[in-house]
This record gives sequence, C-alpha cells and structure tokens, in this order.
Amino acid sequence: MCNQSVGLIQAAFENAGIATVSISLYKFVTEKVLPPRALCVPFPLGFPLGKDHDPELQRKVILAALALLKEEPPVVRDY
Amino acid sequence: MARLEDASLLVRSFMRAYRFVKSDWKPARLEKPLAECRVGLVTTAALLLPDQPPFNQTLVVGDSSFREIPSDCDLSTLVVGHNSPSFDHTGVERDPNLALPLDRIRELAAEGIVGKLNHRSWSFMGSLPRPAELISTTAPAAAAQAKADGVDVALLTPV
Repeated sequence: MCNQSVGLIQAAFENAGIATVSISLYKFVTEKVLPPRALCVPFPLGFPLGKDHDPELQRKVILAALALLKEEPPVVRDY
Repeated sequence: MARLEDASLLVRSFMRAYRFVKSDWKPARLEKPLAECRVGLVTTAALLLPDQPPFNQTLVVGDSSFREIPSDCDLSTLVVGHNSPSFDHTGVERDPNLALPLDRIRELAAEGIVGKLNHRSWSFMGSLPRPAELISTTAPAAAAQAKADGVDVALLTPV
C-alpha cells in the first residue's frame, strides 16, 4: 500500500508545480499507479534507500533518483 | 526489488485482488538547476516525533493524516508510528535516513549538488487501502505547504 500512497502523494506535489521523484519497492504497483517519475530499487520492503547506516549507498540511490528529474514524465526506471 | 511471492498469503491475496488507483497529475518541470533547488522530503514510513499524536491504526480506511517533521529534529528520536507486519521496521528505526534522508540531503547541499533542504518534511502512514481522503484532502494540503515553503523538488520514499 505504501507504494500506491507514495504515488498518490507524489501526484499532489506535482500538481502543485513541484517536480517530484519517488522510490519504488514494488514495481508492479508503481506501474499501475504510474506517478511522474519513479526509481525502482532492488531492496526489501522497509529499506527504500538500501541499508541503514550506509551513507554511500543512500547517497547513490538519491542521486540516481534526482537524475530522473531531468526526464520527461512518466518515467519508471530500474536502479 | 521486493517480491510479492515473499509476502504473507494474506497480503498476496489482498494485493492480487486490489484495484490500484492510477495517479492523476500534470507534469511540473525543473525551471532551474538542481544546485539552486530547495528539496522537500516525503515518506510513508509513519515516522513521528515522541511529542506528536500517533497515527490511528484502528481505522479500516487507514489514517491519511500527516506529521510535519522539522529538519532540525534529533533524528535518533524519530519512531515508526505503525505496526504493519508487511515490512521490516528495524532498518528505519536504526537509521531514519534510510527513509527520511535529512542528513544525506544536507550533505548534498553542502557539496552544492542541491540547493538546500527544506525546513520541514512530511510523514504519512502508507497503509491506506481506501485513499479517497488522501487524494482529495491530505496530500494536497501537504503539497500546498511545500509550495508555500518554496520547495522546488520533492523526493518521496515508501517502506
């Protein structure tokens, strides 16, 4: 449900004129909700940015997500 | 990627029968370099501070309210405010940056990769099987706050 909720909140932010990108842990959900931009990550539920106390990995995932902001929506991309 | 095959039978059955809601949006475009953008964070990890009201976990439709998390909060005091068995809470409890990366965005701002971290973030409880109120009311309310804050870019994380 979290992945649907993220996409729906994301739509509200995008409609407010804010460029948005989300992390997805369930690609099949995100493909149905189809938010503006989503990065599908290979991590388990509960670990959207990879690992706890792993700043390097968290940073890499965030940078990959932010890179999608330059693309034409909708974009659903694998990390 | 999380696999549905790994979820409990109850969750699998629910997810297979559930009619997911397609999001409805018009594209917003970046009008300035990321290095000049104010970044807002949103998570559905139900993170909250000890002095904030808990999310209501007894509602069948789910609690679509949100908590504002000040960026200068002590991250170590944040707690995961829902007890969904569908995901492992331990990582976010050990390191809230895993879902609400306040420290990471501050680091990227210090390096000049993004402009700055907004002074507040938005925390929702993601388990909302009937999201009508989220769509009509609470998500637009959080978005309006972000717009008023001057947020240019939002990064959202599920758990």
